Amino acid sequence: MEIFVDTIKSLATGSGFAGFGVENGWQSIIMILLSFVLFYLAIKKQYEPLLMLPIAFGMLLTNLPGSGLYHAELWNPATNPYFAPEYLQEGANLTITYVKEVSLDYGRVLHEGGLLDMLYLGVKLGIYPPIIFLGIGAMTDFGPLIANPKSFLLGAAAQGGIFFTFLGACLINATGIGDGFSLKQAASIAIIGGADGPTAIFLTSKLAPELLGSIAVAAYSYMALVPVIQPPIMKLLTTKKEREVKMGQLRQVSKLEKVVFPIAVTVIVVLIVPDAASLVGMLMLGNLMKESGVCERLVKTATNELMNIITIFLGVTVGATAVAQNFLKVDTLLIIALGLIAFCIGTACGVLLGKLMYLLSGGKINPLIGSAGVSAVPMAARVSQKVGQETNPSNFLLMHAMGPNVAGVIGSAVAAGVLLSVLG
Amino acid sequence: MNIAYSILSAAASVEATATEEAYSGPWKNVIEAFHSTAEAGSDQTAGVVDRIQALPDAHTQLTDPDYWGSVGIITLTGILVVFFILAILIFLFWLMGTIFKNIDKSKKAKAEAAKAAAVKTAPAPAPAPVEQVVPEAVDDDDEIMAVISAAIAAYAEDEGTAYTIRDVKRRDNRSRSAWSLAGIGENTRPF
Repeated sequence: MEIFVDTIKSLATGSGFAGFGVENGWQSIIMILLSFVLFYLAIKKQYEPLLMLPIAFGMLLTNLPGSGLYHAELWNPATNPYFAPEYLQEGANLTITYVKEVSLDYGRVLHEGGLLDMLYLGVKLGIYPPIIFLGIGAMTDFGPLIANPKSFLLGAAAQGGIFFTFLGACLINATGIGDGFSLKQAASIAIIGGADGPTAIFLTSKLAPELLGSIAVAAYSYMALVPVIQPPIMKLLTTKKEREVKMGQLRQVSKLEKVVFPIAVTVIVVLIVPDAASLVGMLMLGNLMKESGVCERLVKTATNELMNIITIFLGVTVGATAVAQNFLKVDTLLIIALGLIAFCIGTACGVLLGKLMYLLSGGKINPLIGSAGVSAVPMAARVSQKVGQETNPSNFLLMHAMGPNVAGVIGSAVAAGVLLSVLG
Repeated sequence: MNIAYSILSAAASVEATATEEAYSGPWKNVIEAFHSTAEAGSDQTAGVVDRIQALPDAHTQLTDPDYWGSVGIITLTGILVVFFILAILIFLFWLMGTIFKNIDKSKKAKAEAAKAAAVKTAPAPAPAPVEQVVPEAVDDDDEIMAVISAAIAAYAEDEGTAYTIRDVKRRDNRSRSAWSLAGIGENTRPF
């Protein structure tokens, strides 16, 4: 009988339920409930479900006590036992920066890690986001951008959201709310304004991996909310007359131009900002495979199977980083607020430059296409089309908005490269 | 400044390797001037940002006297570099577009010239018998009204209610024809 009771006792103490009873165990319960909210948003509201659903599930798995699938401590250099003070030899000239940079012990991750730790290596080593970019490149038609290269300007202007939010995140430090954000954290939060999930994950995993969960959730939520966030700003900043402008038809772009485009962009961007090489390089490789027309099988794999596999890995591991001690903070709320500000400023910057181009072109450019400069392909372009059509039902801005939209993808990858080169 | 410096240095090193001698071309003085200022400048900026980042947390970073200066410079240079790169791309693809447009034009002109020559040499084909179709004189508006009424009647029958048509107005005289809309739909479907 005693053996039976002991067995039951050991089962009970070893079960996940016991984990809720330990100190701060209640935080795991809140995180699990939060993952349920994300399930609702993904399944019922269909907010970017392809990523939101795996993110929510990763969040659920990592917060079930005892699951052992993801270990936040393995990814935190400060907890590496070999760099504990007693292991450091006296007189060893190890600065804090040095310890932070070299003490992530991948051997330990492989020995002690769970399934999601293994999959997280792809995020930590910067593998998944560029592969997603490969698929995006293979799906993107840069024709509207080649036909109207001025669209690049709108794609650049909308990146203003990133840099102004960087400033905003630093200003929050001065207010003393929350723990404050270091320069690296501020840059990672600001990249939400690029409205580009893989870019945001790429930069954050390099600069501030501890914020990955909250930044990914904020970025994908706002990307899903583009049709709600953008129209009021677009209408506020433009007059009815400006919104009614019908733009002339875009010229036909030849195949040769479409083939030269990815090669030229890669050479120029990578030479100037080498840190953007992995994102821009993969994006353009995918595009070249598509436009060359000779790699049909590779294009099919890049846009379907490969991208889908990586999407699952990326979603579930990014969700897994949202452990309670990293997520349940005032800082998370600040990140969500700053992300929204980043989106709004990005949209406003694009529309304002669109207005300037409207004036300079003598009323030939509809400023509404400027808002599509925040990437979020093709949602942001669709929003430009919708708002334009509300004002003038016979207006078709979609193809014109696709130019700034795809320019925004290149723009945010370049912005990420700039931030990485300065702060990385 | 750094970008300009690296471009200049690259140009100089290309020239230097070409001659396999120490560089003494026309850029020498300019490069030396750039070299001293750029090196000092970049060391200083990188040093400040690294120094701030080496501080353990955000609040101590804030106390650094150069904190706000660095934040401002990062913001400004970030925006400028993004614009700079995309401006280069605009120029490049504008140039490419112009070249391709000209090539297209000359190709078209050649094709038309060849066509004209062919027409001149080929014998004129016998005229095909053409059936004359006389359009029926119908009152278009009445016919459209009848179609609209019939459609509404069919809809009302399904719904089990009755409607009286008082007035029919064109919704928007700026609208496109159904064919035009179908064409646009076909082109924009992938997006």
